Amino acid sequence: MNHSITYNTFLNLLFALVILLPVFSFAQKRSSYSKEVSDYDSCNLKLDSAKVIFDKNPEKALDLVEAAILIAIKNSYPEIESKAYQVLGDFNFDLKEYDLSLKNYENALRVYSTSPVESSLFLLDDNVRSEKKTAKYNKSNEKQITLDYKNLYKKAGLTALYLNKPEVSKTYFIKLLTLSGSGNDQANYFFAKQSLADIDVKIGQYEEAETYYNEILNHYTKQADTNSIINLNIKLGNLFKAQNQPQKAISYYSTARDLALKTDDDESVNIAFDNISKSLNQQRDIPSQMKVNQEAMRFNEERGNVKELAKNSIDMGNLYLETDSSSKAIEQLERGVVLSDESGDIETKSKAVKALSEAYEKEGEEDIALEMYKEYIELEDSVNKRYAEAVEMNKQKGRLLENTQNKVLILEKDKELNIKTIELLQREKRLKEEQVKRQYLLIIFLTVGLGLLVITSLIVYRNNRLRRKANRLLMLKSLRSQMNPHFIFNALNSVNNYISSNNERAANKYLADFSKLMRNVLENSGEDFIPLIKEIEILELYLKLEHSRFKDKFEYLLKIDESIRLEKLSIPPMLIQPYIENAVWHGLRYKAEKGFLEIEFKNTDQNIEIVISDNGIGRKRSMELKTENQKIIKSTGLKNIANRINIIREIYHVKLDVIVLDLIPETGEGTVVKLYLNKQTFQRT
Amino acid sequence: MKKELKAIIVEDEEASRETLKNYLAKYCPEVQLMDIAASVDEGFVAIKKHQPQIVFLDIEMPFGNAFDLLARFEDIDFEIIFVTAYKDYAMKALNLSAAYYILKPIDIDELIFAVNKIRKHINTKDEFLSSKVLLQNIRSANQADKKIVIPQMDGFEVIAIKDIIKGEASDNYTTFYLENGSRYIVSKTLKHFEELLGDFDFLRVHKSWLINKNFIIKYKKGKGGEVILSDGTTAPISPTYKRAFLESFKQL
Repeated sequence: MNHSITYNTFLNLLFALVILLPVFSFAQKRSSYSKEVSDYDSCNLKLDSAKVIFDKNPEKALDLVEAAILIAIKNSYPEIESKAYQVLGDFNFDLKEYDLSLKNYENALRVYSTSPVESSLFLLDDNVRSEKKTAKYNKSNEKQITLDYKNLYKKAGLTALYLNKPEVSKTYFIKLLTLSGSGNDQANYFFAKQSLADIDVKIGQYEEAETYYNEILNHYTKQADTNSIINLNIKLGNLFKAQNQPQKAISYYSTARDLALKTDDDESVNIAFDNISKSLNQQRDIPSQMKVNQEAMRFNEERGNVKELAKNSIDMGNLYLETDSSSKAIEQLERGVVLSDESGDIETKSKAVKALSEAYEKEGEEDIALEMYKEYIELEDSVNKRYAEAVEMNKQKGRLLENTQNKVLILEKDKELNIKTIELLQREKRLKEEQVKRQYLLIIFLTVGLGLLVITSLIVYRNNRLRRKANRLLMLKSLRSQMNPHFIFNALNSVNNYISSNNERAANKYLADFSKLMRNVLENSGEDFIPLIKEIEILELYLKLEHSRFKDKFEYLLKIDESIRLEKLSIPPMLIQPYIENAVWHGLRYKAEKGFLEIEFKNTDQNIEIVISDNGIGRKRSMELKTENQKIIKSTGLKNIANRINIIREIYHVKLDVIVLDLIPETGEGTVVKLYLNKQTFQRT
Repeated sequence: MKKELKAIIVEDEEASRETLKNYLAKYCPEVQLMDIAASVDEGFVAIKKHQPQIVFLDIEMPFGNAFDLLARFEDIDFEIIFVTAYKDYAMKALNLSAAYYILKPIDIDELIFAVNKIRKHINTKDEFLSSKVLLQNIRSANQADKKIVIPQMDGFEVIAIKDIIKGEASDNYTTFYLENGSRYIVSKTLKHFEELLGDFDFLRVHKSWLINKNFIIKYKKGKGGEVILSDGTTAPISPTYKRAFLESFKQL
């Protein structure tokens, strides 16, 4: 059983190893956690800094964005990556690169959605969302994410609108609307609504737009948000202006203007005036237009809005030009030139100078007209130059941006590649793990198999040995107590003889002796060894009975060396008897005259030597005397004893030897059997 | 009672001789013991001299056994009661010729019974028959020539073993069917004959059937199968005996 214990220990060890392996690798993963956090924060910081410094130092800003994206991609921070795209989108927006801007916003949204928690929060329905909310992402986190989404939708929507993609824009604003509507974010909700209405105006769905605007107006009226009310009135005005309903438009514009006047919102007042004027122009109602313009002029004079006043003057001039009042026009335009000079508004001045040139031409002052036109050209040049400068600057930024954008694109591709590589590596790792697992299994199987084989062969070997031993013992048992049945029947026959001759005492004596012998034999029949003293007792009885049958055939003598310690030695029972029987039956019985049988127990250094000698006819003669009919009978007695001795030697490892000799070698007469029992091995235990 | 049966004892052991002598004197008054011989040689001389009707013959003796003694005679005209201490190889031969034997130590009743049986055969057709068949069987080197003596109501019947086609069991009786169409019913079990005839090509194929292999014409396969014998009868082979049956043919 020792085998199975060591075997079990070995198995357990293997098992423990297999279990511990993944734990080790897990522990390794853990150690990089703190590093991740600092990386995350630094990325955020980089992006925030980039936003701030872009205007002044676009190069540095873009470097920061690039670095942030690199880290974000490397560490799989979709939030950071998304934010970086958003920043890039903003930059492009600033540079009026709406196309690129929209692309970046879209990217930002896409990347954001790959972040597992965010996607589950905003792309799935409410029920699932609430389930998915985990302790890890608390409420503030959720708010931040919502805000990020709203911002992105807003920006993408606006950009799309700028790109004249109302349908695209609409989808983003609808998303913004949905997201805001589900919360308490009314500002964004109404912003989205308003934007949707604006889009409707753009695509000519005026009725929907009107409904929206009124709804929003209602809301802001309730809120008493004057600014928004003004704005909405202007939008409503625009709506009707677009529908060629100047009357209605003017009414809204007027409302806006009046409210703006009250709140000192000069910009809106001017917008309102401008639009009223334009609406009147639609009706070709120039006198009213002039009147409105004068009102605006008065307002701006009052407020000291030089820039606006310049514009008003020019508008006025142009109106006079249309009514062919050239001199009045010149007067207004000259004023416009002065005012725009004052405010440094070259564009407006340029317009004024151009209009003056026309006016002078109409007055017939062609020289002045030409002079003016020349000035106009110069002004236009400088306007264009300024514009070109601005464009050039933007272009510079744009190139940098483009550069970054390209780099990001490469990074993106790298990322895809990386993901694939990572997947490949992971697959390889899994394969390797599986291989290792298979190897483990194989080792276990082989070990188990080997163990089983060893155990099985041990068991088989042991069983075979046991069976062999058992067989031997069984054989021994069957061999040991075989008192020749001839002897028994002949002995009983002798009793019968005494009975037949009415010799009661003799019959009784014989029967008693026979019984004693049989009792001894039977008592010891279960033993493989009995005390030597017992065996001698049996021999004495046997000799006595056999002799009484063949009184006329032999005399006998039993000699025992007194130095033999009979009680200390053991001997297989009935070991000597068959040799004596043999001597009587095959040797002495055939002898014409009376023979002699001697059994001697000698004590030598190592052995007890038992010598059975008879002076019968000898083995050779005995064989000769057997007739054909008699040879059929097999002598089993001696064969049995030889077998028995062999088995006893094998099982009990005793030293026991037998030799058979002729008593007189020359004539072959008589037989001597010598048994050597090693005293050491036949010691009684 | 008149001493009508002359007898001789052939026995090597003095004690046995004495015992038999004493019991015969006491319990079989019709037996007149003529002589006691201690060996085969002495026995042969005594028989020749006294011409006994009964010889009490020990089977195993030094210097030759009972069969050695019988073989010395041309013809046998005496009954034999074998006396032996053990049942052994000789029993089959004795049973085949329905010879009498008594076992040592001698049972007086058995002795009386055997003597009485033999006395009944004297002066009938069965006189010395058993001994004669025994001698013939000993002499015939060829197994096929051996004969069997079966007791019938009216005495012994001697049958050549090779003439028997089959034996059929019914309770404790056995019916033998012979080649010539005759049949004999014997009050002995089929098992008894299976042992006796086992050396003569006889095969047990069924609880109730012992057949002579030499008469088999055909073997029909089946669960056990069946054999058709030369007399046209069939004997079933029971599954228990089938294997041994087929084995015996492999050896042919």
